[in-house]
Amino acid sequence: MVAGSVRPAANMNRLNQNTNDDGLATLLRAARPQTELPPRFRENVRRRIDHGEAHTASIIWLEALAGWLLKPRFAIPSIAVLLLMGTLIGSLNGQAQARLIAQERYVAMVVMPAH
Amino acid sequence: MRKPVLIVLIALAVGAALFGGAFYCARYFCVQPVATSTDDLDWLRMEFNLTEAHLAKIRVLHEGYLPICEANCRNIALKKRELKQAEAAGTNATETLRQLQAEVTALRTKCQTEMLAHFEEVSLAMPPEQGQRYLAEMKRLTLGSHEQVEESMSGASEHGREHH
Repeated sequence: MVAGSVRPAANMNRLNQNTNDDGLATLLRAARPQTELPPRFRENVRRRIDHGEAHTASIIWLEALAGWLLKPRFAIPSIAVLLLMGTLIGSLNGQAQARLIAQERYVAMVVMPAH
Repeated sequence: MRKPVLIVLIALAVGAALFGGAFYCARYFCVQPVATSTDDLDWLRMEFNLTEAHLAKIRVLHEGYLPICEANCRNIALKKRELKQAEAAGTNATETLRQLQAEVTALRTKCQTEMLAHFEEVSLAMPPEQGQRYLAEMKRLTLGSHEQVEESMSGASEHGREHH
């Protein structure tokens, strides 16, 4: 008997709640402004989301690179490699330049100039 | 967002400065000794890996040839001046002008012949392989430019003939 008396009350509450929800939904639907969506609304939204994702990816990439650059374990060998490369390429270029200067001087001495 | 960009930019600037500094320092130390040197034979030493013995032999030939070269240049310059004066004076004696032109040409030929003979002498003073390379290089530097001019001129005249 006790159980029977409780069950109808619970059903009543659920019924009321459903009725209230339906009412609320109707109210909300009525309150929602019925404006036309701008053209290509979905595409624009999708594009903005994609752009945001790409932007975030670039930030992550930059942060990782900056962090990497600040690590002495990476920074010191990088400096050494740059100095070595600069010296090597500079000396090769300088040798070629020196050879050219020396050649021009020798040729100017022994070759008949355009008379 | 700003901080990582700034770090990367500063790192790039520092890297470029380090590379550039090393490059220019190395280049300067390679070029400077040659640029300030007064030895005419630096190129032979550098290019043909000559020993001091070879270089001493070549130096004797070089110093012996320089007065000949200077005399040839002086004679050609004098003869050319003579020719110009004759032309400026409006000399009607075509024969005189022609003779002066022939003398300039003869002097130029003599100069070129002696120059080539000197190159051959120098090449013989070098190890055979280097000597051949030297001779080829000197011919390219001296006669090559004349040949290029001749070829370009003959090409131009043929081109001109096509149009006329």
